[in-house]
Amino acid sequence: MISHSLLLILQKHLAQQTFAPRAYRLSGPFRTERITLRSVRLSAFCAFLTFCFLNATNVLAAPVDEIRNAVIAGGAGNVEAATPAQFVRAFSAVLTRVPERKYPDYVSGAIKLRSDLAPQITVAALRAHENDPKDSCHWVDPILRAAIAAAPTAKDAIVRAALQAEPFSKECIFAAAGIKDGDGIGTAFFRPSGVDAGSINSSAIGTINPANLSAQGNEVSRSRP
Amino acid sequence: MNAARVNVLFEPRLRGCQTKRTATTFLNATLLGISFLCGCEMKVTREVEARVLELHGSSSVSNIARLTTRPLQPDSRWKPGERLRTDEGATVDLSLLPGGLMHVEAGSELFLRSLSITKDGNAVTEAVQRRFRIEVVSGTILLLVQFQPGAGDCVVQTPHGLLSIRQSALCHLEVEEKKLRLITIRGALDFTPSGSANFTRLEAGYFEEWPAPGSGARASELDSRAQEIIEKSLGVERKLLILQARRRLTPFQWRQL
Repeated sequence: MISHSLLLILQKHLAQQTFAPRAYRLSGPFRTERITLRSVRLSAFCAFLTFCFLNATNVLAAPVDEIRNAVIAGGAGNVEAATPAQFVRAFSAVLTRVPERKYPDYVSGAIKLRSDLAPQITVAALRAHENDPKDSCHWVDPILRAAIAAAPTAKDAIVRAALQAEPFSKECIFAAAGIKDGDGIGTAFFRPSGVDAGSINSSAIGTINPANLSAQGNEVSRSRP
Repeated sequence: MNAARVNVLFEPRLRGCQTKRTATTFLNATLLGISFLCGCEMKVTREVEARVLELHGSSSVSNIARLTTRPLQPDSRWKPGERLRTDEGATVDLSLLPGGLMHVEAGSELFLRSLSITKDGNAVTEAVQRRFRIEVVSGTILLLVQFQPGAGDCVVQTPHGLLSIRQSALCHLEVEEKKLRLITIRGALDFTPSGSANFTRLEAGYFEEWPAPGSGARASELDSRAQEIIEKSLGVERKLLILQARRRLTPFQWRQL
């Protein structure tokens, strides 16, 4: 509302400042026509600016309001009092109506409302998106980036939750989070069971030495003695 | 003089020959075109059977024509013309077609009208046409369609009207004796109420009940029950996709031998 009023004042001010001096230089019938034409152009330009500005503010404000309304409709008194399940349920329901390209905006909005639920919100967005394993980076990446940008302190938790939700998009998740696969954080997530950080127990994960295959009762190539 | 006379005499006859020749050429071209077009269409249609992916509780399948009833087992088939019943506390996950999955809730009764796959060997794009027609007598189902069906390809018949799926969709359908509740979670659906010629298109994120209380389609996010159903359905969808992937990766019997 305030921004709208400011823009109206600016529009009025610009109209007075820019066109009054030029208009006086003209004479005869041209004067009125030119003033009218320029005024129309300026008004159109200012209206366009106003529209862009208001649209931009709406884009930022709408997801938050929509999620808030959904949480209240879901039975919670307010967003802060909603249980994690209530909040995530409402957020998932909002996402079904939203085009998938706008998911990052809604993820940012939801995390803005409940930053403590950043991992759950990220997983809900990943789950709500139509699963397209052929091109998972295309949709996993923007959601992850939006979540991490909205809650940078919860980066590890977000990445961990995303990896659990979309294990086949490991590379995309690491790339979106700016984590190299060789980093400690990256390998820690995918440590197979039975493998400690310091020592690898071969009996737990199986052998990688072909010479040991016969000793464990596995089949050995018959072409070799 | 004679020659000119002869020409005058034979001109109409020559004209008639030309017309006949043109007609013959046109006919030949038409026949060639028809044969060419018919030759291009190599469609083969096969009636297929739905397969049980996962089963909880007890459910049965009855064949009305043969008057036989058999209990449903994991990996068993549901053929066209058979009626499926799920008991209290039972759920069934089914693979209707490649890319067509269904979750049936407890206390449901469904009738499989038809299920078929048509393949056009010469088609350059979308060579496979998948069709199903299910009648939901009562109960709750979740339907997942992962392909672009043609008009009238994917139809769900209910006592309250006809549901037609026109694009990749995920929908929750609840059929009661006096009420039908439809929630579109993904994609869009066309619903034609019984006794009406007009259909209603229900977009993703909206739900509607028939007979309509007057408000029409409502946003799912503003209804507590719809929120719960969506949350549950998204989980079931993931499970269905995992089961489908597992089924595809399972080796055929001849490979295991």
